[in-house]
Amino acid sequence: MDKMEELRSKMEILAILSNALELLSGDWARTVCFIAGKKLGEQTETKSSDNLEEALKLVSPWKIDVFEEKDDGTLIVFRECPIRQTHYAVCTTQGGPLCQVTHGFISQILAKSLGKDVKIEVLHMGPNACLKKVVV
Amino acid sequence: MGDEYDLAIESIERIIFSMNDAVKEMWSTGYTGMMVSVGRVFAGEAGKKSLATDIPSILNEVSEIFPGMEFEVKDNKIVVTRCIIRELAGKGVTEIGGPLCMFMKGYLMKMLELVEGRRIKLDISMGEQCEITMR
Repeated sequence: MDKMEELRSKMEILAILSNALELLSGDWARTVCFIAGKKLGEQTETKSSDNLEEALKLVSPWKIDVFEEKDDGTLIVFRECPIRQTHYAVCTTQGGPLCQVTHGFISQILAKSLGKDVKIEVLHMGPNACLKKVVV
Repeated sequence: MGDEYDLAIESIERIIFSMNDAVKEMWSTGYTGMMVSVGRVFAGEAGKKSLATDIPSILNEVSEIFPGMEFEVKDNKIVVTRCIIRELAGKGVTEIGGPLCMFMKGYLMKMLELVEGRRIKLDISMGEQCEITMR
């Protein structure tokens, strides 16, 4: 089995867990996935920083850029995201519970490195990138 | 390129670990029956498109749906010759007999019922390779 096949089969496994959660608990699945993401963020080591752009660079393998600073928050672009790759590899719906894993993970990582509470909102979802707003 | 795949595989494994824990925490030991039911529901959907008429061909279809799973029929038993869940369990991402195993049990049960045309039960012996006996 080559690496591409291995990756796809593991993405299938991830989709199973997400779909099972959605089937069994409906809208609660989003909360459960968010908490799962937060726990993942807690287990991940990160460096402290006082700059959002710097803190975003520490999040691997996600590639996130700052797009625009606004009065009510900062617009960021998720260029690479393993969850989005999973959606496209195994045909699950973008914006479903699995995306909440990303939100939980990124908000926890940012909260740890910035030392402040962070909220993430989705503005737009696309096949190559997602636009989101971060409120620190 | 190889490194990129390794990084992606590692991050997906970490997410699976976290989601697997979430399922166990949410339903405690009740996940066993629930994941079997979820597997049955998903197999019911996939089974509608199935053209298989015998056990080896339905097992081939399952292998196509889940590329990490391979089966062989030996002496009236189904031997799981390759299992992505076992591989993940070896890395500590999930565990044998956990939610993912229960899902796969339900999935196989329903798929086999579709070709057998009757309700069946599966006895699974978890050794070096899992062996499944139908009743």
